[in-house]
Amino acid sequence: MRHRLVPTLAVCFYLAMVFFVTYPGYVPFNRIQPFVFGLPFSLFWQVLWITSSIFVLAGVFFWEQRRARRAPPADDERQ
Amino acid sequence: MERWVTVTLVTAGYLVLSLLVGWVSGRRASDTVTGYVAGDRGFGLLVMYFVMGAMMFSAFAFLGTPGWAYSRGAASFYVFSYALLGFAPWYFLGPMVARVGRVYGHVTQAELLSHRFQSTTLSVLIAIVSIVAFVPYIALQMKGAGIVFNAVTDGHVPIWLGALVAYGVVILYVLRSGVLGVGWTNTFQGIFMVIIAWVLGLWLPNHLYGGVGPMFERIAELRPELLTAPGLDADGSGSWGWGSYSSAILVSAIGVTMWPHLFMKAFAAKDDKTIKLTMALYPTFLLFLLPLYFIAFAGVLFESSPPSADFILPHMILSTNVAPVLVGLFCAGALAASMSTGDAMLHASASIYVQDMHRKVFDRKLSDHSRRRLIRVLAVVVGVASFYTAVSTEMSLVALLLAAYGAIVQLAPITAAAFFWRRATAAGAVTGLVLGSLVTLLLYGFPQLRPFGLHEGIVGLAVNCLALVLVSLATSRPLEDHVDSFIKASRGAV
Repeated sequence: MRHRLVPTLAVCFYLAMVFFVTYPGYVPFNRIQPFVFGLPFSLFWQVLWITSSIFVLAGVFFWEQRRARRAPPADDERQ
Repeated sequence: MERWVTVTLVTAGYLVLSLLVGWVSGRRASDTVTGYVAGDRGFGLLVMYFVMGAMMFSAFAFLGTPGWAYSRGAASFYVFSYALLGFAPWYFLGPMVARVGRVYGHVTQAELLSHRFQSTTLSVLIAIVSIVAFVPYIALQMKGAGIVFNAVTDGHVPIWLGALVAYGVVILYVLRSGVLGVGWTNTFQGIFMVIIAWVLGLWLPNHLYGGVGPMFERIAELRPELLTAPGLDADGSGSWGWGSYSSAILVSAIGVTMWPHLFMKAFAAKDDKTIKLTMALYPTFLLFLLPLYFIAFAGVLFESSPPSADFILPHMILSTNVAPVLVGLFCAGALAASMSTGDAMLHASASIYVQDMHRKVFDRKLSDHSRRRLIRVLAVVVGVASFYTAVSTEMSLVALLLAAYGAIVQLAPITAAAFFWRRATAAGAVTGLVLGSLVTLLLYGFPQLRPFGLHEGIVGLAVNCLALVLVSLATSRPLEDHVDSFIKASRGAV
């Protein structure tokens, strides 16, 4: 199932996010110190997930584009 | 010239500009329902990005979220989480929805779902749920526009007049240009909103505390309870509690994913690539909330406080000697937030009524031309109904809105089943939707019945899923060929 690997990893990223921004995953990172870019760590943690999301979905996008160029799209979708 | 006059002039100038953009953009649409509702499926990346972003950033984002940050601190961080988690699934769901729409000619969510389940009842039910959810939401946007107008003009413009003027403009361009008007004004309004928010959001903490870092350090010293989740509860006395914080994220995220106007914008996209890139880039729009938080947190240690937390943004702008032109631009930014959400919803609810209810129940042979005319009439009707709700009710708006959210969440199991569970039947879908909505309403009315204090939407969702599965298994299989071709269409292999 190699053709599914990258999207599956992306889904895992969001499942991990659900864990790390709610109870109890958020608890260890839900703190004021240290300040990062002037933000308390609890707020920086939120910004970090948002920023990472851009790279995750952009990664999936470019991976899909490259794969589509290699294989003819018809075979590609039939799986 | 008096300060409020300058402010009003700048704001009025902005409204005229919005109207122009919305008016001109409709010239390129074809004269069909697909042209009016789905922009001839021709939205490119720029417009899609701002339609999705600006649509979600409503008056609530511009006034409500900062209000929460100001009064309840880190409780408001849940907005970041749910907004991201609610949109991310669209990277995968969006292209599936769009492909099915292209194959079968759907332009609304109910058309798609009732096609899969071959049920008119389902179409009508979804239409009702959507419109019930839309009216209070639009009313809230109108009220937000009115409040901003009222605050920045020192009360010279009453709330109803502000709302009327802003939404008069919206109605004009929605009537004339349909979804293209919504798309291009949202692009214009979105760019405008982001610039205004960042300029003021960085300037204000700098002006008052010497920077964002020093500001948070002062708050950490004096009010540390505001900077860690789950933040404070509604009256600002105790902790909000992890249960409420976490379930608020889950319910809102599922609710966001299911908004009917998101489906409609997926149908408007040019191709799958556009949807995927939009969703990948969407979090950049989310970061635009950050400067609004800065302004709100700047208010925490400020010498004066606003009449209510929702006024914190206008209050900070008005009490810190910002130049009147900038205040006017801020006012315009807040109007942009309100209008860019309200327009999409007005357009969506009118289209849904005509496509999914009127056409199915009252008049099956409606021509394309009369459908378009009816959608326009309905946009005005929904606008007037929402305006009446906005002006006549006081507090119950937020209450109505929360109930509506619980209803929208109930569309999630059917949508998931439509794409991923071949065995799901129409009877199962209808039973699940009805039971789930009823349970949600019941628990909403009688909060003491909620098990473990869980959010009513979650309980309704559990009942909904259970009913969907059990009833589907108890009824006879749906037509194999029909489901097959639907699922094949969603995967792009037709």
